[in-house]
Amino acid sequence: MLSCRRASELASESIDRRLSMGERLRLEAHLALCRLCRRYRRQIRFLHRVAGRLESDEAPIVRRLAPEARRRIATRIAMRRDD
Amino acid sequence: MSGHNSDPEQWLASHGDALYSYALVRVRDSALAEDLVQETLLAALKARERFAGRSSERTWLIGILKHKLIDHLRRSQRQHPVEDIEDEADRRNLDQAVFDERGHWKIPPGEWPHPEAALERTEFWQAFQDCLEALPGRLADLFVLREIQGVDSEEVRKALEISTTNNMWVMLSRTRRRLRQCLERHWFQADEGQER
Repeated sequence: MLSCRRASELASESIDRRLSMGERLRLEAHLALCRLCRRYRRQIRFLHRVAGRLESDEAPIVRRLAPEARRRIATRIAMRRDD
Repeated sequence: MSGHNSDPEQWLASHGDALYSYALVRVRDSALAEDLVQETLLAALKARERFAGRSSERTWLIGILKHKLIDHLRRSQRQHPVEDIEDEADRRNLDQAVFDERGHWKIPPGEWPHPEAALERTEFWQAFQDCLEALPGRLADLFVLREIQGVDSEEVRKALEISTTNNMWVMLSRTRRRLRQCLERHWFQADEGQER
């Protein structure tokens, strides 16, 4: 029987690579009996989806430009335009 | 479409936050992200005639920003620790904090109420960025390259000078564990608290 530590690692690796048949069977056997590891897998899969959203052009905003930075950039652009 | 072109005056207002946020996720340094936004808009100003309106203005600007990001990575060629010696000790400590000696959860993952609804909340994404910034730089780079940008794993391994692919999966697994735990603390538990 896999430990939760190993099961959590395999759950993570299953996102990154194709697990071997043996690994898959051991992982599924563990998950069938372990609610916490099922929850863990669900949550890191969620993280995977969250990450995917950030690659889009319409990605959610994680932080806004500070007003001073915005003013500084606006000034630079205005200067360059008048060149 | 080429007649009524996009208006540079409006770029900063319409896309400034989006460009900044896009850069900040990838470099996690606000001054640098601000510079990249400025460089992007100046380059866009120069190349304005080439914007044919085939793609959206946002897509066009982000395309320019992507090039600026690549230039930046080349320039900096970050000095990564060659191997993971301190990471190794770090990992043991972290493992011992999360799992007991038999590998059972010592700090079990908590229930997350309404994770999908979180995606619609601005504060969730701020918390996500905070958690990304709290990671050791190399792990954050790894997460960004693999999970966000979906860069080919062998390319990522070489860029970050990770000795083996297997090590990379282990590092990624640790990164997910840390991010998960941080989000739980700073979003899901905090959020639950607010609702009560």
